[in-house]
Amino acid sequence: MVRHKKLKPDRSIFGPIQPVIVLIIFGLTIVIWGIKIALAVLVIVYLMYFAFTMYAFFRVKNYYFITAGFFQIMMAVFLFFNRIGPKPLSEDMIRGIVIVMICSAVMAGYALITKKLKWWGREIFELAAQDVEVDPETFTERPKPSGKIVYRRDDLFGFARYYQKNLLGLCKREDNTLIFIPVKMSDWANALYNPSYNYKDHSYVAISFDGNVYTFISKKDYLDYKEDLAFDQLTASLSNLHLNFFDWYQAGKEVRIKDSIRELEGNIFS
Amino acid sequence: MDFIEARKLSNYLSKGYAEHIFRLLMTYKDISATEAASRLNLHVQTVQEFLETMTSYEILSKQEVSESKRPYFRYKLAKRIISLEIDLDKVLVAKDRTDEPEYTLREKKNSGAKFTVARSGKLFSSVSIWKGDGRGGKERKINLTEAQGLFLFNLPFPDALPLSVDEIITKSEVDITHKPEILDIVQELIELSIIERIK
Repeated sequence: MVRHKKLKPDRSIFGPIQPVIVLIIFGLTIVIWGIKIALAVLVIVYLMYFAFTMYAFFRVKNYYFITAGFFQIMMAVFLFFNRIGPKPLSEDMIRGIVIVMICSAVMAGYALITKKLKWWGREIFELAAQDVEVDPETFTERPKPSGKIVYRRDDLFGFARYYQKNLLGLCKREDNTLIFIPVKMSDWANALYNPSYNYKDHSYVAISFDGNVYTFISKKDYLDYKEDLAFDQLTASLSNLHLNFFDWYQAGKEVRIKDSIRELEGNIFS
Repeated sequence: MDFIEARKLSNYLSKGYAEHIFRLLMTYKDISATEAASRLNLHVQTVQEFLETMTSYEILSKQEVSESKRPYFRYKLAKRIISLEIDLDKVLVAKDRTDEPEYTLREKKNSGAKFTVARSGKLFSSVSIWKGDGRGGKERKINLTEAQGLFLFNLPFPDALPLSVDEIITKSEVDITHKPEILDIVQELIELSIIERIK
């Protein structure tokens, strides 16, 4: 089924700009201090990446972060111990490190190509908007009560773990409510690493332990659509989508969640 | 007496000269505005206005007299106790609009209102609206009671089907005894163009 894209194209440059910045730093350090120091700086950069990646892993428990972390640590090791690096090792050792590094790069590449480390918030918003009509000036910056559901609490926690692990978004527990916050690729670093990140400023679906469901769509996410969509319908749709996911999860049909989301995935670079 | 009348009477009674005029009225059998004004060194128009107002509240009585000149009024006390009585049941409950025909409500398109969610996440604690343009604008914030917060939390969105007050109260699981305070905030928000009244 061909689906009409309702979101504006993702113009975030957060992904591509990182290697460019690293390259610029690397180039400048070579010019100023020479290759050894430049490699040492790169080692520090990779170690920082490794720390951030491991933090992400411990936060969402997605094991593909370990492959990325493994590649990053191997890159740091290679850059540090290679022939022109800060502390060269014997040829045999370097050869061994290169082999392990290539293996780690293959694993990390697999995770990248198969989108195991992709955040799916954008696709969630696309799916939510599929059958929503255009209706200007209907946006309102407040949550909508989206009905009441009956569930087992263990299932809700299980679904929250699934939601994070599969990078649909982040979950947060607040008092007697679990908040599901879809996270887009353009916003994942902010959502994960920004200590002042407040979920209340972002779109979410909240499910309280007494079964009440509330949905909020932020102005930023609403304006990310090409047109002004009927806000009540959109909010209901986002809520229903999450409840469908939860139903599928409870019924052991998690694959349906991935199927529906993958219908909307973009190209390999998205 | 309603609030407008009470405000008017209180305004006159709070004047600095009110006590002195009443003291004259207690002392004299009756007195004209000119006599009182000259005695208290006030402008005759001021005293005249005061005496006329007190007469309209039946605190004073007046009698027209003419002594070889054009007629004028002499005033005397009609009662020796001044009381200000407002029957809240009569004045306010009648305006609670509970007897109005059924109408439906929803949030107005582009209302510009900012609803603040309470910590529990299930109701609003306040609603703010920006009044005026640009730098001259001012924020008007209304703190909500729990019942009002729950009610507004369940208010239909601008593109949703409007619901009646009772339907929203039921949906919000608010006790019906809170209806008067809910109607009060509804009326205020209609006037502030945050809520749209349909039918």
